[in-house]
Amino acid sequence: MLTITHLTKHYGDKTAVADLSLTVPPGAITGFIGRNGAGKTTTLRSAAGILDFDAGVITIDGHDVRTDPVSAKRVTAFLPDNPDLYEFMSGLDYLSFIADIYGIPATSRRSLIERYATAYGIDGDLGSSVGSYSHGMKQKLALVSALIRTPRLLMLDEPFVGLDPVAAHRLKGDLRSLCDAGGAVLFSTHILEVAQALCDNIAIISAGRLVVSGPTSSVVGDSSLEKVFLDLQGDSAGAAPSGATPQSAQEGPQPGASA
Amino acid sequence: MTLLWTLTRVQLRGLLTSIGARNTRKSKVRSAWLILALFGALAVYMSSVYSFALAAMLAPTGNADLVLMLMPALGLIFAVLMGSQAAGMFVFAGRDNDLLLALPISRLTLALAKLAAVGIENLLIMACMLLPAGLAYSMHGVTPGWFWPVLILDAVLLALLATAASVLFGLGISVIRNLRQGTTIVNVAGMVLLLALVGGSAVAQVPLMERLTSNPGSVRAGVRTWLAPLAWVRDGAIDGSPGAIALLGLATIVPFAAVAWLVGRAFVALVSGASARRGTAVRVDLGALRTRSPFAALVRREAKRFFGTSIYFLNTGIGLAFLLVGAGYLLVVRSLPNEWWTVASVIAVTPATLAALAASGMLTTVTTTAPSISLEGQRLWIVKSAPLATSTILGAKLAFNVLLMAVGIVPFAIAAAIATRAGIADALLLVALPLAVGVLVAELGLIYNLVWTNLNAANDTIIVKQSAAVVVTLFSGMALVLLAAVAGLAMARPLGASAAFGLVTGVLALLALGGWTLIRTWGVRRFAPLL
Repeated sequence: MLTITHLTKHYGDKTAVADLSLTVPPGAITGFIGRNGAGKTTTLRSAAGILDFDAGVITIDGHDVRTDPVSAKRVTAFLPDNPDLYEFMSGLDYLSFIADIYGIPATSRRSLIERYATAYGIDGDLGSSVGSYSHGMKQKLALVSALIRTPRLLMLDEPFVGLDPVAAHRLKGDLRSLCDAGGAVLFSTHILEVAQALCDNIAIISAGRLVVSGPTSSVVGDSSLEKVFLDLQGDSAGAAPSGATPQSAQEGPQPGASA
Repeated sequence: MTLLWTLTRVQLRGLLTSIGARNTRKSKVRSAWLILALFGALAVYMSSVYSFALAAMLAPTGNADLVLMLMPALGLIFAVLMGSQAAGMFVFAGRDNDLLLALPISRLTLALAKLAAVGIENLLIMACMLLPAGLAYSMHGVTPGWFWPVLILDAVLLALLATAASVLFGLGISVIRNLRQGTTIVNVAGMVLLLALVGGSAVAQVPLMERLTSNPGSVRAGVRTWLAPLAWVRDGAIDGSPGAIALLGLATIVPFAAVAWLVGRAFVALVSGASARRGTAVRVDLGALRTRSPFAALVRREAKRFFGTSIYFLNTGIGLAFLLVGAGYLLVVRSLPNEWWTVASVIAVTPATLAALAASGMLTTVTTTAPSISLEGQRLWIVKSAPLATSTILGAKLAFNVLLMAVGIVPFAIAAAIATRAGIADALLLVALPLAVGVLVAELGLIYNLVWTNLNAANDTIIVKQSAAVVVTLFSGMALVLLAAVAGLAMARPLGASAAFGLVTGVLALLALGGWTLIRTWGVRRFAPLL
């Protein structure tokens, strides 16, 4: 679904992402793990087509993000880590705007908004101005706006931050449903327990380089994701855990069992 | 004291880097200083025009010193107008308020630092208003040794008063905005107030000038009675009166201190007032959902931003309001003022052409495009991650601006055509010339905003009122209308006024076409790396 090949991005003298290659297959949830400043957000934003990059190729469902961005974005939904939304709109105005932009038909629009807004508990607030929303409500509105598009690829940057436990549980279910329907999910997180339990595949990035990726069971083995991650941070150039693939000889992650 | 100075520097730097339009911190500060310099230049220009004209008019009767009473008043109005919205947004709704309140700093120190940032801007305006007035006076009257130092001291003191008034107005704006429907109330009230101020001053200007010529003594007596601090400015600078200086100090420092104390006391309540808006949930009927094309949705988004953002509405909607008021006036009286007919005959154009030029001038202030990209701010990711061609996003911004212009120009053109009894050619010119100017200025606004994009401003006020793109667009629009008028008048004699201005309109339309091509090519490339 998402193929990133030799992605490189510099900010001035600083290399944010260096020669990163990653594949996110359909039907799988892929967790993107790394320390602050490791290059996760840069990678996600580049894949979402909102950040230009220096080298490499990114394709979504066969569409090149650089040469055919509109087609690539049509099947994608991206949520940044701190979604700033239009505060001059009401919640419903915002969802209608997104629905118009993505051409969601009138017949399904109402039921999709109703379903997801109710599920995330913001159905009673859709008439209020987004400016009056709390951080969590904005996060939920942004999630609803992504889910009503029924995207083929959903990319989320730290989606669980700011969500209440009910909404977080609901989101896990929705991510799984999306993958069960043939879609793909790539999300970054610092909550390693969630990543280990939810993700079919794990990709770990350090200092802009992908240090390991593969099916969660292979990456984690008999250990825990936390231990693997901490070990890798101690020796990011070291050998990958058994069954996982170091970046230099990476294979595409596999669709896995449900979390 | 060291803490206050450190905080003030941080606040001022915050204000400057927010005003600045460039991407690097150094160039942001540089461009911010440039914008401040532009404001100063505007104040110097306004003050020079009025000061030298008034001094020359009043000198023969020995009343040139009245300049030093009248110009401080104009300076105060200018400074308070500039400072109020900035105070409402910067002092009470700055993005750093949570951070500042969490620091172990007294609220009074915090309030003083916030006020000082606004005060420095006001000081620039007051100094740029008073110094040309002093120069104009010095050409007709004696300037003792203390004149300039005292005048500079007066500028500082009046800046304190302007800051106190700005912050009080800003506080009012902030409180009303926190009410339900507060943004709309502020928008409409602000627009009505502005129209009343501009209309009122236009009406009062002629009688004031007549009074200054025929009976300057009564103006002097009136100022001494009702606006005594302005008289103290004159008495301190010219007479060196210590009493006047002390009284002015008292009349300015006390209000400033009182406002600083008030803001310090109520700062937490005011800042947290915004959360009071998080009131009861509002349920909506999903059955009323309508579908639109992506382009229509983008245009609607621009409209919602325009009407839902006070500062945006008030600043870029004023020309539209004037056009609509003008249309109503012309429809009622069904004639242009006599002076217009006279001017039209002197410069050998039809009154309709003159009205078309006036409408063009009005439209140059309706430039919603100039701040529109910067206003996306940290929300730019929404459209950038959407399946939209960049030309569609930019085109929607332009389309909304043109739509807004059409709302003003069509009724005005109809009313002006009736009032001037215009023929077909002139009636067409009434629509086409302002629209061609308007479209070109809207395109220039978009182009300038692509050059000077500021996605990290502390608030919308800074973008709409003080960003480089907006200021340069405003000046470009004025220059464009001036050029169009000069070119049209130059060709009016050989071609006839209607044909000449028709030709000018054609050239402007071609330039507008070129502008759109530039936006679709260079503009799209320029938009790509923005985030």
